[in-house]
Amino acid sequence: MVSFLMDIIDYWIIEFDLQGIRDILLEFLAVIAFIFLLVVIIIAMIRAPMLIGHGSIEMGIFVIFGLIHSVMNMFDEFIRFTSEFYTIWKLMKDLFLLIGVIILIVGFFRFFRFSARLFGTDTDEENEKAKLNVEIDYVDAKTDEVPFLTEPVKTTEADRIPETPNEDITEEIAEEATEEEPEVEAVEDTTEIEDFTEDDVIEETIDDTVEENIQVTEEKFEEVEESIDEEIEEEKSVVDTEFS
Amino acid sequence: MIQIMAEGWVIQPKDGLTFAIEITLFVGFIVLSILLLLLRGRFPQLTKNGWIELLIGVFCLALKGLTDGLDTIAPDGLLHDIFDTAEAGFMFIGLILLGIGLLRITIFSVKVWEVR
Repeated sequence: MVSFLMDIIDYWIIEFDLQGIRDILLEFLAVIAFIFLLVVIIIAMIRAPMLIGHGSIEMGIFVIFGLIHSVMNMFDEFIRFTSEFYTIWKLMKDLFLLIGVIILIVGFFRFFRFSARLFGTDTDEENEKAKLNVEIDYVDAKTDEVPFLTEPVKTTEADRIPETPNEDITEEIAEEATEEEPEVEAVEDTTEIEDFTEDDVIEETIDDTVEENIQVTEEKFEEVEESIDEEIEEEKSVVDTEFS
Repeated sequence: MIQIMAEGWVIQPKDGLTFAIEITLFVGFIVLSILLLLLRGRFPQLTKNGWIELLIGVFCLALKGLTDGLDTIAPDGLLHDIFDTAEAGFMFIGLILLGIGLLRITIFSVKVWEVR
């Protein structure tokens, strides 16, 4: 062993010039950076256990390989290897990092594939559709208490107007129909959503989507209201003619 | 000046494989950058947080690979020292940015997970 070391080590570097000190400092910082990255990944795995097996392990392996590379890089600042061995040494260093990078690329693929699933899509065909649906999905998840938004227009004309209204319709029914004020309800629901999503990370997205939903729903309600009003007017006229 | 800089830029046979691996590292990180750019287009929501740090970090690591390769073939002297220092500097900056980007994107993913 000792003879092997004697064969590969030319001499130990004990005196450093400015360049040497700078290199050691920077190599040391790279080691610190890899340790920082390792801590980040450990924190990520603790805070997000669902990420384990979806890229974090690969990133951890990259960090370990990178750490080995950096330590070797720093180590050779103190030792002058023989020229033959230094070639092998440098090759080994770079191979460690190369393997780490390949594993990192695989990890990134897995992480983003998982994230795509997290966002509600994991197939290429549905990507375009997903871009549109992602925000809606969030709103659906967040607005369980607000059926108004999850099911924007459940009330149709058929629900509101009896199929044979000519005999039964009265002014009371007409008043009930007109008393329903969807705009007021919409304003209340908007307040709820705004309160609910105030501190959320996707606040802007949800707010935008909620506003869009509210607009769409309000438009539909207006259409329904108009059609109801028209129906009522027709029925009134029919009733009036019948009474007269 | 160019002639002086060009002197001694030789890929020695023993350094050939090392140089090839270092350039492969550069290409690998460039591929990772392109991948991140593609992901930006495909998942604008997911890449909202931490993406730019990841991209700059990976690009710095690509430059680390390039300077490492140039360091291998550069003649001993000022240029060699510059590449040596740049390599370590890019590595440090790249890794720190990579860490920050990963942390931000993870926190964002956790929040999305909690929401869903």
